[in-house]
Amino acid sequence: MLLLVLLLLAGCGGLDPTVLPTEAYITGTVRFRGAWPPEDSLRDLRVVAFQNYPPQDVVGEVLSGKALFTQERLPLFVDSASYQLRIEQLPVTLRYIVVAQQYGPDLFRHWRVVGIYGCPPPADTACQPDSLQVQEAGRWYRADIEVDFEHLPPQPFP
Amino acid sequence: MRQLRWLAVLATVAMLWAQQPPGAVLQLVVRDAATTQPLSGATVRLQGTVLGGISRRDGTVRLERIPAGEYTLVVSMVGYRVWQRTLRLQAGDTVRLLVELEPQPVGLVPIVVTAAKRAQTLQEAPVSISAVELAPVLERSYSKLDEVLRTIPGVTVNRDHVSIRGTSGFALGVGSRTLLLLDGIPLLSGDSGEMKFDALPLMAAERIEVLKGAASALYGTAALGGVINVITREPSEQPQGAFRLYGGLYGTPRFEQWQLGQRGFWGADLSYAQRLGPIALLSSATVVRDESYRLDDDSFRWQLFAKLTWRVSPPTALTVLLQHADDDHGNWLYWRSLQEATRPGNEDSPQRVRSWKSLLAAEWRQFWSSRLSSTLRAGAYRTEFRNRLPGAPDTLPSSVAYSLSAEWQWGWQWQPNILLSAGIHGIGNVVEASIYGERRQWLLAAYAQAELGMLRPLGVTVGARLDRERMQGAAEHFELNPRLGIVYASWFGPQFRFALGRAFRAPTVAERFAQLRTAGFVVRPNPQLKAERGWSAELGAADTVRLAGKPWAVDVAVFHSDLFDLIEPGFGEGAAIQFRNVTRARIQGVELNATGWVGPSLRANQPGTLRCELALTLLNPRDLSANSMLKYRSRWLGIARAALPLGFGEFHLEYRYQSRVERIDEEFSTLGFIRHADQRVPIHVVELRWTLEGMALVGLPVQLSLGMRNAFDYYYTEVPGNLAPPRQFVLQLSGGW
Repeated sequence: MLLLVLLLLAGCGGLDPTVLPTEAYITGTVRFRGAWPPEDSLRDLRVVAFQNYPPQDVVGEVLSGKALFTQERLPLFVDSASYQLRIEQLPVTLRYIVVAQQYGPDLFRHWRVVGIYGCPPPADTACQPDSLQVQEAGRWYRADIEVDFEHLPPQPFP
Repeated sequence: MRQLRWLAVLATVAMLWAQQPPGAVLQLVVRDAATTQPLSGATVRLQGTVLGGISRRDGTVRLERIPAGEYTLVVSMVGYRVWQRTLRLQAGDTVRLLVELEPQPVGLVPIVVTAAKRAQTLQEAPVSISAVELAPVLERSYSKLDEVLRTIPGVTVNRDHVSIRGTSGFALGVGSRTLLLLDGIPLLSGDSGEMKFDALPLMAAERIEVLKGAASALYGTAALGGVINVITREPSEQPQGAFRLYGGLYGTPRFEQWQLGQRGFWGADLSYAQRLGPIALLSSATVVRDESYRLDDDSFRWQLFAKLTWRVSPPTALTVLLQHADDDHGNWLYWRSLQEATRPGNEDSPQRVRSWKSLLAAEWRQFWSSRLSSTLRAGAYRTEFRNRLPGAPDTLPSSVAYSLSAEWQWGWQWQPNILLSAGIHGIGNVVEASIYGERRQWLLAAYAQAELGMLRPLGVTVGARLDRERMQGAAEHFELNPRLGIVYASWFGPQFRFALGRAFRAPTVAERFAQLRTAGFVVRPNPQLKAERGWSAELGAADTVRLAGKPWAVDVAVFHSDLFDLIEPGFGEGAAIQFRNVTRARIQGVELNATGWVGPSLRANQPGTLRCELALTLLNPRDLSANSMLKYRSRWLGIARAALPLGFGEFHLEYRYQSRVERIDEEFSTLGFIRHADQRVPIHVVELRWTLEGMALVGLPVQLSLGMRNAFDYYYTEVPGNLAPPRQFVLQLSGGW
């Protein structure tokens, strides 16, 4: 009986060239430097990718789906962490890819950028973030980000 | 003149044999205790000597010229419990014995040699060992080692890499973390430390033992994840010949984009074995042609193998192994895209790759007394490959490498319950290659091990090995690898085992010095590479339980490995690949195996019984450096196998499962090397086979086998950009005398 179930399973799925991927992915490694802030200020930590730089309305872009963010919180108190962002609307140019930290209880206000793609720390206001043109479905695009909690980059938030 | 010399040698051998004292004679009849039918193929040996034999079709074995003394007689056979008895023999005695072997759950190989570098029962081994009998496997038209390894629980194959319980990923065929042996002789290439799957003489093999876990305390470098030991057959006095002819067709893929027209494969094998007095010969020949289901991926290969054993005297034997394999295949690396998955994407695919693998090895086994023995083992394994393109200048990648090995091992039964082993081992890799340069790598080692049985039913094994590695252009280093093993035969039934060991793998010449540009990839050297290291521990239990009145062998193991400085290919500046010590990893898991049968019969191979084997492995392979799953590992591995005897044959079904690989090298995609590199799915492969016994149908010792591999035509990849074989139809005729 078990074998019959397995046989039925085996008849399903598999690779199919007629169902080509419609999405692309951004992947990369976030490397952390410097002393981590207290745990109670690390309410959330995610990679967020914006189409505009500087973002006009950070919260609005996230809520409207124009900004993409990782589905899970990045691991804390580690040297590095890998991430993936799935992109369904192609082509798209992402001009501002950051690691964002929620440091306080207010989900809409208590955020700060702690790392920017293309601006390794210490980054000043002159630094221009790298853009990523995501065009080809089925392809992975790479964006590594460095974070130094002791040298935070310029903030886009009010 | 040369013929005369040979005749003189043979005459001397015959004279030496004739001059030996007559000794005792032992005549055995081996039969099944349940059915009283004679058993053919049982292994009989006198411990402490090189004397032994294989039972004939009528179950008889005759050992002659046995010096007077006290011996332990051991009789073993797959599917039966080991039989042992102490005998005292006088010169001139003729002793007749009836040996009745008790059946045990199907498929279990009773004697293994890899866990302690000596023959021991599977229950004595403190580590997990999967021992696979080759005869049933060869019914499946397999011709390469990797095809067999995929059917072993806890083992996966990622193109050229064998991974035991998740220890290896995919590193372009370089740096195996599993040691490969042929009758104890190392068989990894001297340049890239790679397994050449087509170099193994499967037709001459009796079984494959897969030791799971760190084993450098006995075997040194490369035994980080385990050891695979291919054991060849022992010829009997009765001449034994066997042949195998098979042919097959690849099914037409469902998707028009992948169709290339009808393609197929065929192969032929021949083997012969016989013992003539003190001389035993085992030989085999193989030829395989595969048109492949992919463009520019066809191959033609052949192989010859011979093993010659000379029992110089009852305590002395010399064995010589000779092997040569030749392979010509297309330079397929990865697909053009998922839409064109059967067409190559690498621009140098019109090239062809020719490779040669040759082994010359010898083993001198000497029993100095019933308590002291030594084995001197030496081998030279030559591998060569050449990429070539008709009409192109001879500047394409090529390499010639020699892997030399010499080992002197001693065993001393110091006390009745204390067995000491020690040895020295040297390995030399000599490489001359356009892509690696001229390189020499030397490893020298000494090891010792004590097997302590004073506290029976508790058995303890402790040992350690010290290796020193030297290579031109790289730092010299020492590696000390200790080992502890405990087995406990509990009073309430189960047999428990515990193993803890350290292992290492020295970087290969290729990992340190590869410098090439091929298939769009640029590879740069890194002479600063350090050795990979790791600790592994395992706790296991084995027992025979009764399910529906039938005995089932159940084995469960919990394992943990901590690995340091793992060498992985990474993409660096200018998208160049370089091998680096980048990964700190931890692999934890559980493995469950159950073997038995259901049905009304007392015996597993009677009509109406269903023989079953189930294996499940759950892995948690973590890359601690990246806080993620290790690349190219699946979390779940499973195998379910069933065989139904039908009187005139058997019906076989096998299902193999691997959950989806969670991570690959994203750079294959991010840097645009392989289109749709990320297209991967779980693996579900079903194989169906129907064998017909010629003896039952037409009175001939032949077997016809009809098989369907990947019966549900399930499309999957094992490594990026490589579509695995679609459905195949196979017809095989085999036989023996």
